[in-house]
Amino acid sequence: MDTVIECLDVVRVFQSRSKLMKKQEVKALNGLNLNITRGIVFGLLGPNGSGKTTTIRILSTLLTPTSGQAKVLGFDCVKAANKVRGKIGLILGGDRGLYGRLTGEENLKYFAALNHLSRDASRKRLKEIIEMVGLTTASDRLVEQYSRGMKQRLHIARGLLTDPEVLFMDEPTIGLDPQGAQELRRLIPQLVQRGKTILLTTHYMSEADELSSQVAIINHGKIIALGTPSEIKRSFSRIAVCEVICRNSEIKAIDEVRALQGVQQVSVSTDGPVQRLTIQVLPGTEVKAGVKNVLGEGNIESIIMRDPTLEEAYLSIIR
Amino acid sequence: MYNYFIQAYSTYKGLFYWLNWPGYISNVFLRPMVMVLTYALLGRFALNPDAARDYALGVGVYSMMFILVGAISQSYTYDRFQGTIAFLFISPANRMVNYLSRMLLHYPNALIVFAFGFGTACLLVDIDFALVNWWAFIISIVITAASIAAFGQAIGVFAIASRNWMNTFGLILGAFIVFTGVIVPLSAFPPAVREICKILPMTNGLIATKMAFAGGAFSNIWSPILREALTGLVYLGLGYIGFRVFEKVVKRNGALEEDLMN
Repeated sequence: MDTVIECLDVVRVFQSRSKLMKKQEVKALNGLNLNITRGIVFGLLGPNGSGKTTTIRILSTLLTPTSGQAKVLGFDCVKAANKVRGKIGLILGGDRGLYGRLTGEENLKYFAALNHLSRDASRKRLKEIIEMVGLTTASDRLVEQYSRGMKQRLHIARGLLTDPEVLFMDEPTIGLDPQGAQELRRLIPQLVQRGKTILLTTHYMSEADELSSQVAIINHGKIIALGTPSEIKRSFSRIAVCEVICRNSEIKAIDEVRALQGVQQVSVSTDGPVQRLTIQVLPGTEVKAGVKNVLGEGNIESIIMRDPTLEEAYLSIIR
Repeated sequence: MYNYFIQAYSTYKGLFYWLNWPGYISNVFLRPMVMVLTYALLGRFALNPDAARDYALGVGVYSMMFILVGAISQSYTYDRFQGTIAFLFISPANRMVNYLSRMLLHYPNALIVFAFGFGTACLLVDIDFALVNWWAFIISIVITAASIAAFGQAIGVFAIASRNWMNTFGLILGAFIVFTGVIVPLSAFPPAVREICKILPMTNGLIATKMAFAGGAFSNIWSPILREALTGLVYLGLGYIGFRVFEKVVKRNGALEEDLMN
């Protein structure tokens, strides 16, 4: 298998000083090991401060690791950084990272110049990419006049500008309206079909589930779960889920369900007289009988065990 | 070459915050006119007609310092504040080309500043042009402006590292009006201080400019012009080294990552 992105025992420590000038250290990555093969979308999930963004910064050569080795397409991100830079695209989110006093097109022209695109290549590529991200009518307006979603589209355009082999997408749909987010989610599989490899971080679990062929969950700077989304849900998840649709259940009865052995969490949604209970239990726990007993079999319309969603699995893993 | 000009245009328009009608007119036209006129009149009426000429020339050249160092250093700082310099550092861009492109379009503003400032003084204060060695005068202004632009690059790199262009700029302005012969003649300082003054940009250029204005021959003027040019090259080189070191340091200590996340 062709490994495109490789991290070997990568450690990254940030140092700072407190107000009393005492040295403080934060270990953002604590021996990260990662291998990503060519032509897939790899989802990197984790809570804030877990090391996702630091990983992307190291792989995009914006940050050097404190120790360990990071490689992209076989090139060391520190020793052969220039070779890496010519083959990657980085898509960030947020309001920063763009020149507000330039138009959208001028921004892209500048970044094309930084990436050694010739005048003709730049002109052609800019036209394609501006159309691809839906900024044709706004490309001659100053970026400071853009909405959040438009700026995000421009971030995406910049990342795709050089048609890179490897794309790093750090929460790419943040700020996009549902239509824009859907368009990007449609674009990503097309990019993969063209042979690109994508490392994607996102807080939207449904997005990671839909797009990623491999997922890793990172916490405290280390990978704590790795596999396909299905493997994450089945093998790594620390919960199983029981879905119950019932009628006329009292609060007292629901509290008794919470107290059943093996039950971790019960969440309730109500639609008139119908209630849906989502009961998270420890894997292997037989809970159906207990629930039927507490709620009354006559009140239960359906009761099934299902695999957790990626979000439920993720939350159970990082808790 | 095309990419060089694109980078020059983009960094000029994208990062020069005085590039709006009120900012440009006041900094490029009004300020130098008022400053030069003020000092020229001061010289004329407080001292003598020769002082009016010397002050007009000195403050005219000093005005170039204001527009070049102020504009270039703010450009560097805003590139960091806006989070855009990170995208330069992850690109395969030629760092020397990008560094040199940042001063290109500010340079003509310096010449406009000098022309308007000095020109105003000439119109309103009686300055005698009879002896001017015009080619030497123009060359000394052109080279002095380039030297100051090169110095602006070095200060810009310092400003981006310290995240503050205004404090640095203020210090530079104060120091340069005193120590480069703009108002205070170098002969007023002890020998050791005079030597330090000579390694500052503007000092040698101003000597050459005044000599050319007084009708000095090229054989006398080429020496301070050459020293000024070399001074500028040294600062340009130091600025470039600083730029490369800055990139390495922020990648090691993660300072740009903090900027992007804040």
